This record gives sequence, structure tokens and C-alpha cells, in this order.
Amino acid sequence: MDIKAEGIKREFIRKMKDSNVFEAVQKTDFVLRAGELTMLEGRSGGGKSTFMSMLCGLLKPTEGKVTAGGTDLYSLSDDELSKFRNLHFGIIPQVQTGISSLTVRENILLPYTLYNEELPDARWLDELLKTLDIGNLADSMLSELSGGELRRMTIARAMIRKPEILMADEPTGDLDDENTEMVLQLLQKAARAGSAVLLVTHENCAAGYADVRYTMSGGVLREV
Amino acid sequence: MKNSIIIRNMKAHKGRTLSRALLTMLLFIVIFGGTLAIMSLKRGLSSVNERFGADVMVVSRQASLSIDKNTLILQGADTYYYMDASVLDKINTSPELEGKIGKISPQFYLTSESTNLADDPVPFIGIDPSTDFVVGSWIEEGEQLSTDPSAREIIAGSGISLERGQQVSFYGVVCTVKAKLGVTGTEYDGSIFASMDTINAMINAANGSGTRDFGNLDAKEQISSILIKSDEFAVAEEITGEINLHVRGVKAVQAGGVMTNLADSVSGASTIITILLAAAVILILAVMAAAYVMSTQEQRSESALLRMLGASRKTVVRNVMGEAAASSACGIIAGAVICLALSVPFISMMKKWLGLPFLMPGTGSIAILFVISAAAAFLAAAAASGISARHFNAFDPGMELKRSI
Repeated sequence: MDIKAEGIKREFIRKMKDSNVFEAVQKTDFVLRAGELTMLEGRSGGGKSTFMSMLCGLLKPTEGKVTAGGTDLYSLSDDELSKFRNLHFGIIPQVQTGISSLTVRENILLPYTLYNEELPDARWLDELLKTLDIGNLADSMLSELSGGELRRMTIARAMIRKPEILMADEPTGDLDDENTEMVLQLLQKAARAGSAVLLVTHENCAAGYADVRYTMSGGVLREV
Repeated sequence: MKNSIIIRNMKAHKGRTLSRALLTMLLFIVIFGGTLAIMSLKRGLSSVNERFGADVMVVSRQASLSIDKNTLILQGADTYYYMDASVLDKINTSPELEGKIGKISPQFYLTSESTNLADDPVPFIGIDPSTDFVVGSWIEEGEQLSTDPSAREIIAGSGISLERGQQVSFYGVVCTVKAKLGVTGTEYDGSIFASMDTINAMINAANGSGTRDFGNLDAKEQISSILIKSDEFAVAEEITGEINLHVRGVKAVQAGGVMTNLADSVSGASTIITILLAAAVILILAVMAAAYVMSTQEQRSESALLRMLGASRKTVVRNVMGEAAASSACGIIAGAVICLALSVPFISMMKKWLGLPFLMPGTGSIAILFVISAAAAFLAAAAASGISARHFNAFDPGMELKRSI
């Protein structure tokens, strides 16, 4: 499933010297293709997270439209869009977060349990946990995990559905080199399996895994 | 799973759950307890009003000077000033009062005696069963006392631990409990009533045995008060005026006036309680709103995560509200248990503290008040949580997750 952004831009109201309108993302056209790992780089505050939020249906653009597999995301009702995101998107946020009252396994399965769906094959969950090296932590509480383990839990949660669209916002920020390599390989593998993968990162080594590279600065997107 | 998250979150965030439950519990107790106090005061007043109507009470001048008129009506048993029983005849035969008096009956306040029948000293009150229209109207079980001078019977107030038909001895005089009164909310609840002949028998027995020395008291010759129910067409004020003008040594008090004073006291007390109640409710609501806003901040990142995973705004709001509702329900249950456990000491404390008639409403009214108080406390908690949850409709989960941890 491709994601297509047509003329999207996002403005925020912010008190500034010259104007009260801050343009976080300037008018942009963009296509995230299925089967490709697209890398997005740029300095902090450049608009990358805002751009990603718009692409995954979490933040409505001030202008323009976003379609995923031909579906205009922002023409859907909140219920429909939420369900669509649940079914087709896997998102790894910039911060490590989970529901602290649930175990690692329960957190990873949240995309299913949220809609009371049948759980995936246990072997797939075990494989994912093993690949991410948190197989022995399935029944632990989040408070018992290290930062890196928590990060890998969020990656497992984003991938459990084998989503058609995978978006990762600096997923390796707090991982060591070995785990960084492993996560990048995992994302590349997902792309090879047909997912459209967007990787927002500062990691130089990530470039070697990317099929397409973009940079974003001052809200302007450019292909490298 | 949605419900499971709510319950798991409640267990995991004990501080949040407890503070919410505690605030709802306090709100429930204040609304329920305060309203119950006001209702009980008003019902107590109504019961006294019903007992006395627009009537007149006559006491000796000494008694009227030394005793608060409100106390006389509510705690008449502690009056040790007597007047000659002939006053009753004078009033009955007064040409100025002819056709104005509907009912008239004397009462004789013997003493208050510490017994094992009640916590407080029990007043013994003599009545004339043939003319009584006050005590008899409160009989719940049994019948009015016999007019036979040799009958040794008593009527027990609702708070006296005696059952109908039971026999009990006072100063050696064995009496049968002929009737039991219903709850009046006044001193009558803790009193024992007997005919003037039985009271005299007790006086003689006490004097004879040396248990108590009542001197030359005689319930047939002396009386403590005369209660008058005016004729339908007569004005109580007229009766009061005529008695005060023509009968020496006594003072007629218009029950209406006493009722007005009493009503003023009840109104004053209920106003103070209402003001305190309103202040407490406002304070608790303010703290509740602040607590909810603060604790909901904790839930923002969790809600942002659920949105990111595909939960709709409705689901997120339902989660937040559901947790608030469950905590509030726990608070209301705890409040109800506390109210039930404390209701008896509460009534006793209010009676003593206010010194006013205090009569609890019936079970049906209490049940309705309970439901309304529970609904009010629950709605307040829901509103406080709703105000916080409303913000979840506007925020950007992506940005929220970026800054939340």
C-alpha cells in the first residue's frame, strides 16, 4: 500500500516576532512506496515528526490531502480513520511508551486487543520477541525494563500486525550499535516483504539500508 | 480488554484511584449527611408543630420565668414548678373562655430518673388519660392508659427499652407497659407516661420506702402544665390573652409563638448547615476538578499511545471516563457504608448539638436522598473527568508522545 501526500502543509498558531502563524511543514508532495525503505533525515525542529503525524492520519494538514491505498485519510470519520490506522499502520514513536499497568506481551498485543480481535499466531509473537532479544521479558512489567528493552518492545508492537505501512520516528535513538543494526535489518526486511517503511533517523549507518532518502529542514522536504 | 485496561490502570495507579474515590466519598457524605440533617430538622419541627398545632400551654409564672419556652415544649419533663390543679377548673369554667377551648389536658412532670431503660435520665410524666390529646396521638403500639384509678400502666417513649405488655417496677410500683409511642424526635422519645393516680402511687411508694423524697407532691392537686387545643373558630391568641388577664399566678404561652421561635431556630440552624454544606461542596468540587485535571495529565501519554495504535477519540474518552466512573463508584460505596455506620451517633450528636427537634425521614425518603446524593457525587466526578477528557479530542498524539516522557 502506497501513501501519497498531495500539497500538504501544516501551520500552527505560535507567537513570534513577525507573524503568529508558524509553518511547520511547507506545501509538499510526497509518495511512500510499498516495498521501499524511505529514510527521512534532518535537524531537530525541522518538521519531520509533524510530517510523519500527517502521513499516518494523526494530524490533519492545514491544506492538501493524504491517501493510503487510494483512501483519503482525512475524509474518514474518526472511528473509520482510527480503525484504518489500527489495521494498516505500525508506528514506532520517538519516545518509549506503553501502558504501564500491562505486561510486555499485553502491550505488544494491544493493536489486536483494542478491538477485541483474535490474537495472532503465538509463534509469530515468539519469533518477533526472539528477534528483538526480549523473548524472556514477555511477562515482565514495563517498569522492569531498561530503555533499550522498552524501545524494542515498541518496535515489536508496531510490527506485530505485519503492517502495510510502517513508520519509525528515530527508533534506534537509544540502542547500542548491535541492536541498531538489528532494528535496521528488521525494518529493511519488512520493506522487502512489501511494507511501505518510513524511517526518520539521525543514524548515518541507516543510509545503507534505505532505498530512498529525503531531508527535511525548515519544513521543506528535499530528496537526496 | 478495554475494561481490563481500566481495572488494571486503577490497580497500577493506586494514588490516582484512591484520591478520586476519596473525593467522591467526601462529596457524597457531605451532600447526603448535610441534606439528611436539614430534612431531619424540618421534619422534627413539623412533628412538634403537629403535636402542638396552634395551641396554648399554661405553666406556673415561676416556670415561665425560669425556663426557656422552647425547652418547656421540647423538654417539658424537667420542670419542677407546679401550680394548683384548680387552675384547670378556673380555665374550664371561665366565662371569657367559654366556647373557645376545644381540648384541654394537664400534665405533671415528676422527675428524671437514671434507669437502665435508656442512656439518659428518663422523665416520668403524669397525664390524664380521659382528656389527653397529646401523648395518645403518638401511640404506635397499644392503647391509651386506662382511666381506672387502680390501674398501674405506663406508656413508653420510642427510645425506652421496654416492650408492650412487659412489666416493670418503679419505686416498687409494678406497672404494665400499655403502649409504645412512635418516634417524635423530641424528649418524649425518652420519657415514660403514667396516669396521675399511678404517678401518685410512685410518689407514695418512693416516700414510704425512702428511695426518693418527693415531699408532699400530689399529682391530683398539683400540675406542671396545661395543654390547650383551641376551638376551631377561636383564636389561640385570644385564649392566651384571656388566661394571662384573668387567671393569676400562671402564664399562658401561645404555642404558635413558640413554634415561630422554634421555626426561626430551625431555620437558622438549617441556614447555617446549608451554607456550610454549600461551602464544603464548592471546596470539594474545586479540589476534585484540580485533582482530575492533574491526574488526567498522567493519562495523556497513555491516551496518545492508544490513539496512535488506532483507538478512536470515543474509546480514549470512554477509557478516561470509565476509570473515573469506577473510582467514583468505589467512593460512593465507601461513603454509603460510612453513612450507614455513623447514622445513629450522627443523629444523637445533632440532637445534642443543636438542641432542636431532630427526626429522621422515613426509609423511602432516605433511599431517595441516597440515590440523589450518589447521582450528584457521580455526576460531579464525571463532569470533572469530562472536562479533562474533552482536551483529548483536540491534541495531537504524535506531539503528545514526543513531549510526554
